[in-house]
Amino acid sequence: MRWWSELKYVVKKLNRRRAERELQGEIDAHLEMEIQEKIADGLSREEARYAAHRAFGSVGLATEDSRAWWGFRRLEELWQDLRYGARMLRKKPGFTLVAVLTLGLGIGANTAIFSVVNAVLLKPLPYPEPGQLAQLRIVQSGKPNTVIGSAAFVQVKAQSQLLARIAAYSGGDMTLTGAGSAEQVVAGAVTADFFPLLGVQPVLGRNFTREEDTPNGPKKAAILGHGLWQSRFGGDADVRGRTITLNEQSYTVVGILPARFQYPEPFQLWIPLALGETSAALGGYGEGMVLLKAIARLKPGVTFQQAQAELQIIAQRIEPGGTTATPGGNPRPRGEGGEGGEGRGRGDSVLTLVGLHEQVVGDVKGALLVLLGAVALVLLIACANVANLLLARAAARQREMAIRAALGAGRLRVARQLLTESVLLSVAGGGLGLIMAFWGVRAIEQWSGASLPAMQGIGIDAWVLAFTLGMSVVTGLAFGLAPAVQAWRTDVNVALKKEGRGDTGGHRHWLRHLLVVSEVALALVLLIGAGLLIKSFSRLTEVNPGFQTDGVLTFQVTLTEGRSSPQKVNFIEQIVKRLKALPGVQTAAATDSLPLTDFSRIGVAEIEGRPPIAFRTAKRGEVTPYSRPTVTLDYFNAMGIQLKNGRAFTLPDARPPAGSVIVNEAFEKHYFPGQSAVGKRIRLRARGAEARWQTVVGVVSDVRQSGLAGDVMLEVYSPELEDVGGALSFVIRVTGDPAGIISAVRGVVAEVEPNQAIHNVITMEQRLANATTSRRLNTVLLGSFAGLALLLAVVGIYGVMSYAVTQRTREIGVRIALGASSKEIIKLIVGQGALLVGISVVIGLGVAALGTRLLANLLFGVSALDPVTFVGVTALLAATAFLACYLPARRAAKVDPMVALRQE
Amino acid sequence: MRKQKDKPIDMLQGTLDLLILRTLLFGPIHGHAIAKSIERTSQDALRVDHGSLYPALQRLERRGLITAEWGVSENNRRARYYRLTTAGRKQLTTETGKWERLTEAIARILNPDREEA
Repeated sequence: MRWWSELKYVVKKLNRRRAERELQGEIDAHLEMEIQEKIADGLSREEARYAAHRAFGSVGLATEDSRAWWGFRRLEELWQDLRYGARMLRKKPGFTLVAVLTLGLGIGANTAIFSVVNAVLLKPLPYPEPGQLAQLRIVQSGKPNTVIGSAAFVQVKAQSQLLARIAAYSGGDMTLTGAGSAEQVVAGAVTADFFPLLGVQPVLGRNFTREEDTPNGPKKAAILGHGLWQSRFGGDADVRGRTITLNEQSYTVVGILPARFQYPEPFQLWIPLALGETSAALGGYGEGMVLLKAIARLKPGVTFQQAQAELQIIAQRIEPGGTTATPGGNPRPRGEGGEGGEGRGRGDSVLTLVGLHEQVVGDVKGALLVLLGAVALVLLIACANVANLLLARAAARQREMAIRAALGAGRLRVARQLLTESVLLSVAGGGLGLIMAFWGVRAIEQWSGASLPAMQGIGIDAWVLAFTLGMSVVTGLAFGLAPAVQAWRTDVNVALKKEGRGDTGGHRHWLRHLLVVSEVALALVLLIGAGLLIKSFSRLTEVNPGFQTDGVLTFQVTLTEGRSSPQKVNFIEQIVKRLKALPGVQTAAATDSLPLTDFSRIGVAEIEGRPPIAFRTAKRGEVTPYSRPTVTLDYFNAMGIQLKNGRAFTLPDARPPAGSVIVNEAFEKHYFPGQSAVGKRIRLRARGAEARWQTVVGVVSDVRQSGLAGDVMLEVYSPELEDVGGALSFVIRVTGDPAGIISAVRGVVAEVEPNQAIHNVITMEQRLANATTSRRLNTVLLGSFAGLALLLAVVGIYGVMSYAVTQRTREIGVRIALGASSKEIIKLIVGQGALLVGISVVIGLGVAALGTRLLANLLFGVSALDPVTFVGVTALLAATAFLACYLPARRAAKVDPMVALRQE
Repeated sequence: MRKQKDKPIDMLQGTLDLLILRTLLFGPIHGHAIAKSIERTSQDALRVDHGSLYPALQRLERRGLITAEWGVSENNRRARYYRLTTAGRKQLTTETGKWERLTEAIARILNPDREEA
C-alpha cells in the first residue's frame, strides 16, 4: 500500500506552483510563530526575527531539500543532465558537428554493411531445415557448374537412398498474354517435387500433381508467384482456374505462392518441367537430353560426406559415356568409335553436392567479409576521433569541473552528467548513422543488382537496429568515461589555479597521441587495401577480351527437348539467316560456347604423328583440356575475332564429314610451338569420343572464354552443327545501337519457332560489364571507406595539433617574444605532428604488409605487396597529414606574443 | 550556560523521523509545535534546526506515515497540521523497538560491569 500513498503524494505535488505556495506559507507561518514567542520573551521585533531565523537555519536549504522529495529525483536529475548537456553541445557547434558526423559516418557505414552481411551470409535460407538442402553441381577442371544434364538427374533420383527428395528446375523468359497486355516474365519450370522439397505450400490452391509434370500431361498448369498475382491479377482470390497464355500456350492457374517465398533466381511464375522420364532415363544422350539445375534434400541425419560418397557410386555405375554430361555436351551414344570407358574424366568432371546456402552465397562471401573488416576499422577510427575530441574538451573544461566541485557537486553527479553528455552525443551520432545506413543499403542494393544473392531483400532489421543503438550507447559510455574519470580525480585547488600557467605539452597527453597514431595507422591500412583493389580493377578492365564488344547483341536459347539433330541444325540455320536479313545487321552467328557465359565443353586432343595418349593411365597434368565450341560460319566476323593464319570456315566445312577445325593461338603455341598449326591433323576426344581425324584450316586470336580474370583456354572451333549442345547463344553485329533490334530479334525467333523462349537478350558490352559488376562494387565500396578513413584521420590529426597549439599559446608567445621566427614556430609544430605521423606510418605499413594477404583472392594482376601502391598511398597520407599539421602551425606562427602572454 | 555534556547532539536523518513520529502520537500538531515539543521534551539536549523538520515532514508524508491538512492555529493563523497514519503508528512501534534494542546493546558494550551489578 505504500506505493499507493507515494503515488498520491507525487500526483498531489505535480502542481508545483501550489506546492510551492503551500510550503512557503508553512515556513512563513512557522517563522512568524517563533517570532511571536521571542517577542513574548521580551525581545524586540528585530531581535526576535533574527533569533527566529537562527533557530530555523537556512530557509533556502529547507525549501530546497523539501522540494527534492516532490518528484522522482533520479529522473529529474537525468532530465537536468540532458538539458545541460544539450546546451553545452549547442554552445560549441563546431565540436558537436564534427563529433556527430564522425560517429554518424562510422556507425552508418558499419550498420549498412552489417545489414548486407546479415541478409546475405548470416540468415539461413527461409525454408524448413535449410541445412539439409543441397544443390547438385558438376565440377570440371576445378570449376563448378550448377547446370547438369537431365540424365544425371534422373539417375540420381532413381538410385539414391540418402536423398529424401530431389527436384529439378530450369527457366527462361516467356511472354505472358491474356488478362492484360503482353508481358515478359521470367518463368521457372520445376518438377512436382520442387515445392514440397523446399517445404513451401501454396497459400491458395495447390502444387503441381505428378500427372501435370509429364510431357503429355492433361493440361498445362501454372503456379503464380505472389508478386505477379498482385500486380497482374490484382490479388483476385478467384484467379484459380483462370487461363493464362505463355508463349502462345494455354496454362491454367492452380495455385498462388506465399508472399514471403523467394528463390535465388528471379522467377515470377512456375510451370511444370515435364521432364520425359522415358527418354532421359535410359541414358539416351543424344536426343531428348535437357539441361537443368537440381536441388535435393538430404534425409534427416545424413551428412554431406555420406551423400557425396553415394553420388560418386551412382555416377560410376552409370558410366561409361558418363552421367557427367557436360553442359552443352551432346555426347554420341556410347559404343560408337569403340571408345567406351574413357569418358569419365580423370577427376576432371565430378558430380558433387554442395549446401544450398553455400552455393547461393559462396561467391560473395570473401568480398563481404573483407568489407566487414574494412568497415569495422572505419568505426574504430571514428571512435578514436571522437574520443580524442572528448578528451580535448574535457581538458578544456577542467576549470568548470573544479568550480562545480567547489560548489558542492558530488563527484558521482558530475561524472554522471559528463557521461550523459557523451551518450547524448553518441545517440545523435547513432541516429544520423541509422539514416545514412538506410540510404547506404538502398544504394548498395541498386548497384549490386543481381550479383548479391539477397534473398529476402536487405533491410534494416531489428537485430541491426539493436546493434546500432547498442554501439552508440557503448561508444558514448566508453568515451565519456575518460573525461569523467579525469574530472573525478581533479584536485580542485590545482585545477582552479592551473589555467594560468598554460600547458607545455608533454607526456600527459599520451592517451590522445596514442589515439591519433592508431587511427592514422588504421587509415593507412585501409588506404593500401583500397589502393590495391583499385589497381587490380583497372588492370582487369585493361584486359583484352579478344573480341570486339561494341555493336553486338546477344541472346540465348535453351532448346526444348524432343529435337533431333537435323531439327536443331535447321533451327539454327533458319534463325541465323533471318537475323542476317534484318535491317542494320552486318552479320550474325551462333555458338554453343559464348565467352563470358557458363557454357563450354571440355575435351582432350591427340595430334597426328605424336604418340597416342593412353587416357586410362594418363595423369592429370599430361592431358590438357581444350574448349570445343561449335560455331556457325560467320562467328568470327560477328564477334570480331581476328584470323591469324589460314582461312575461315566456308560452306563445305559445315557438312560432315568435312572434318575441318580452327584452333586458337594458345592451342597452336601449346602443341606446335614455333610452327604453324595449319594443315596439321588432330583427333578430338570428348564425351562419347569422336574418333575422326580433323584438319586444322585456320588459327584465330585468343579469347577470354571464362571471364576477364580467367586463363586463356585452348580452343578448337568446329563448324559441324550436328554436334551442337542444347544451350545456344546467338551473336548479331549491327551498325548502330544493338538494343534497337531487340524486338525484331524476338520476332525472328517467334517466326521460326513460336514456342521458343529466349533469354538474356543483352549486348556484349553489357555482358562484359556484368561480369565485372561485383568487383566494381567491391572496389567502389572499399575505396569509399578508405576515403572516409582518410578524412577522419586527417580531422583527427588536425584536431590534436590544433588543440596542442591552443594549449601551448603561452609558450609560443614567449618564444616569439624571444625572437623565434615564423618558420621556426611552424617547424616546431609541424615537427611534433610529423613525429606522430611517422610512427603511424611505420605501424600502418607493418600491419598492411601482414594483412593484405587476406585480399589476395580479390586481386587481379597485382601482388598483395605491390610496392607502387604501398609507396603511393603512404605519400598521399603523408601529404594530407602534413597539410593537417601545417594549418594549425600557421596559426601558431601568427600568435601575438602580447596577447598570448596576457592570456589567462 | 550549558555544560559540555549538555551540548546539543546533531541528529541523524532516521532518528529525526522517529522523533517526529513519536511527537505526533497524541494528535495532530503543526511544524512549529513539533520543533518546540522536541526541544522541550528532551530538555534542550536535542537541538534541531527548525528548517530541517520540513524536508523530514515531506519525506514522512511521501512514505505514507503521516498526513497533513491545513487548519487554524492557536493564534488564528493558518497552519499545516500533521497526524500519524496507521502505517505511521506501526512504523513508530517497530522503530522504537529497534532503537531500544540498539541502545541497550551499545550500553552493555560500553559498561559491561553495570551488567553484573
